[in-house]
Formats: sequence, C-alpha cells, structure tokens
Amino acid sequence: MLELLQGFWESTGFSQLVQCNTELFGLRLPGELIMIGIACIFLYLAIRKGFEPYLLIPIAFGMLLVNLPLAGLMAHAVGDENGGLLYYLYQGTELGIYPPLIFLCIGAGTDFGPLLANPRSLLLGAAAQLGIFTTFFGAIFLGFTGPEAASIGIIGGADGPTALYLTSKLAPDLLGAIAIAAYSYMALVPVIQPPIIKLLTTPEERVIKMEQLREVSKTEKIIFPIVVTLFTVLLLPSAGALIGMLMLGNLLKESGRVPLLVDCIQKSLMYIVSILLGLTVGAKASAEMFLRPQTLQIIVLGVIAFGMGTAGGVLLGKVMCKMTGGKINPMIGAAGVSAVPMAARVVQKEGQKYNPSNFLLMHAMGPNVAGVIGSAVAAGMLLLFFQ
Amino acid sequence: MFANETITMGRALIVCGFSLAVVFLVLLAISYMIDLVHWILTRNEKKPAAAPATAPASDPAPAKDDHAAVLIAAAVAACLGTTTDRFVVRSIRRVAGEESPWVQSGRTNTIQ
Repeated sequence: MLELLQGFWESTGFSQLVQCNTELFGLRLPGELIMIGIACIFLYLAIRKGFEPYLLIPIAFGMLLVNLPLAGLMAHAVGDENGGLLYYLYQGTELGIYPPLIFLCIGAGTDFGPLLANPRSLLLGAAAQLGIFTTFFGAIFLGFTGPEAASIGIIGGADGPTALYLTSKLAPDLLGAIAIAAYSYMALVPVIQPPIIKLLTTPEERVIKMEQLREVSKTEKIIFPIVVTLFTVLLLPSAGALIGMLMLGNLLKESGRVPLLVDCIQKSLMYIVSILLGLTVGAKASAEMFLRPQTLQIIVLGVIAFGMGTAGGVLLGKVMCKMTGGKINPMIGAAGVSAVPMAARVVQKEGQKYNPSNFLLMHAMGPNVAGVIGSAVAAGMLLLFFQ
Repeated sequence: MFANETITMGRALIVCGFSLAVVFLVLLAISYMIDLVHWILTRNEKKPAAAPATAPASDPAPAKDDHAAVLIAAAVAACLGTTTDRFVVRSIRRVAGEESPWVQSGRTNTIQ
C-alpha cells in the first residue's frame, strides 16, 4: 500500500515541483516552483495593474504551463510520439510567422499621416534606434555572443514583435527573458521616459508650440506603403518580412477598398495572433532557460536600451530645434522609440504639463510610427550580420 | 557574417556605426521620397492657383482659417441647439486651461 502511494506521489507534478534541480549562483533551487511564482507575479501585474494585459496574461500563463512538471507541453516530437501542444504552437514563433502577422495588424491600424505631413520626423525615429546599438555594444562587453547581443539590443527598439522576430531567429534560448524585458519596459514607458526628457531639455524647449501639420492626401497615403516596401526591401532584403507585412496592412487600410479585411485584421487576427505569440513566448521561459545570471543582465541592459533610445531621440530633437530656429519641440524625439502610441501619449502629457495649451500628440505620432520602420530596418541590419 | 561568433569590441563598434548609419540613411531617403511624391502630386494643383492670385484682392477672410472657422461654427451651433445662420462668429481665440480638452469634454458629457 505504501509503495502504491509512493508510486502515485512520484507520478504527480507535486513531487517534482519541490525538487531542487535548478542551479543559480551556486545554489540548488526548486526552479519550476520559482518560475510559477514569477508567472503569478506577472499575472498580478497584468490583471490588477493593467501592465500590457493583452500580451502579459498569455505570456505569464505560458510561463506557468511550461513549468508544470511532467505536463510536457513543450516536449519535442520523438519517433512516433507526438510533441506537446505548446511545442507545435511555438513553431509559428520559431519560424518567424507570428511577429510579421502582428506587423500586418499594426500596419492596418497605423495612420502614417503625421509622418507624411512632417517627413523629417523620420530622422527622430532613426535617432531613437541609438538604444539598440549602444545596448548591443554593452552586451558584447558583458561577454554575450554577437547573435545574443543583437537580440538583447533590439529591446531598445521598444517594438515587441520586432524583438521577438529577431530573437527567434538569432537567440531562441533568450526568447523568454527578452520578451519579458521588452514588454515590461514598454508598459513602463510612462515611468522611464519623463525623467530623461526633463533631464535633456530646457524649460524653454519644453513649452515650444509646433505649427499645425499640413493635410495629407489619400493618394500620398496609398503611395507611401508601396514606395517604402520597394525601396527598403530592395535595399535590405532581410527586413522584408517585417516591413512587407507592415506596409501591406497599411495599404489595405488606406486603399479603402477592403473594409472587411481591415476590420478582420485589426480585431480578430490581431487578438488571435497575440494569444498564440504571447503563450508560446512565455513557454520559452522554462526554469533552466530563465533562472540564469544572464536574465538579470538582460533586464538591466533592457532598461539601458530604453533610456538610450529615448535620449537619442530627444538629443536629435534638440539639434533639429536649433536648426529650425525653435520650430520643433525636442520632446517629440522621445516618441521615436516605437512603443506606439504609448510614447506619443507620454510626450503629449509632458507637453501639457509644461504648457497646458500645447498639443504635441500628432507631432509625436510622426516619430512614433517612424520608430516602427526604424526598428524594423535596424532588425534587418542585425539579421544581415548575425543570421 | 558573424553568426555563432563571439565578436571583438572593435568589430562590434564597426557593426554599431555601420548599422546606425544605414538606419539613418534609409529613413532620410524615405523622407525625401515623401517630399518628392508630395511635390509631384501638388505640382499641377499650384498652377491654376497662380492665375486668380491677382484677381479679387477684396476677399477679407484669410483662406487658411476658413476650414477651422466652419468647424467651430458648426460645433457652437450643435452646442446651442441652433443653426449657423442664427449667430455670427466674430473671432476665435484658444483659451489656455489647466485641463486638456479631453478632460473638459469628458466632464461635459458626464454633466449632460
């Protein structure tokens, strides 16, 4: 009877859960139990605090599922035996299918009008990519390999799908840590950016009012995605999947001919892919992959990447302010990190704090959507070097 | 090029500099393409506009404000529950407030 009970106990996940089979900083720890605890904290942050709930809930639950011992949800297919459910769903992430699909949905929901009205704001989107490359350099300094450093650096693009796409191609083992860092910091944009904006700008610069943007014709909006796709993908084929899908989504929207497709993409497809992407990214955060000293380094490097990206945008904003004789408010440079539309909202809020009659939202949307293109181009460059 | 390699700091610096330069150049090129497309599309529109420029100089309303004035007049009419021929908009002035228009609008909706 005792043997029966013991056999039953050993066949349950509970017996495995308390086993100290994960080593961290020389200590043997119950890795799965710790990861379930971390997943519950993320669920709390997403549900109670509202931190990126659409992605953080699936990510955290994926993390929870993959750390349940003996469930084998991420088990590979061996011989005639099928793999786990999450293993098959993960193929969409590993093969680089879900992130471009998310880009399709983003494109269908993006208005490039503010960017077309003020094309030089594209440069602010480029300057904000500084965070990617400084963090890449920092990661190399800390001993990460080139592909790993590129995947960590892309956190600075503040663009979740781009970060996941690049990491799934270059360093899939870091996918869980990078996804958690990228989406956590994106939720914290309203906390991270304001002090950096304040530090780098003067009170006089912060109250600058910008001229109203010109009207953009429908034809310009239709031509833009076609021209960008042709030019960018011909120059940088490695950025083709992201830029191509982004611009396809936008063209569908701007064409005005396929409202049912656009409605489907903006709503149903977006949410379906978000669930699959979030769940499978979370499933890469198993104890042995997540509970490593590198995860802490990635989290620290991630916040540096966000800070440097914001600083890069604001500093170029200052240069453009000087060159235009004070016509550009440098704060809009902070929106060059692509977290759309969060970063633009932060700029609007900060602008109104210093000048209640100032409306910077549409001016900030230009660099904001430019940041999406900029981070996709940066990802293409890193793929070119490290794939 | 450098797949599965631990690259040196020198190479990392070159990758950083080159990649950032390409990102800047690509986005700068796109910005000029936007200008080019805008110029091509509006080139023909400007020509007919040049002819009547010398004609009636007596029109008192500045053209650029017309659109905003019409919109504001319509908004005032909607608020007052009347039509735009029952009042005259003589001047439009933005009032600085501590709250954003969104907050004010939200409050108005709640009160209504």
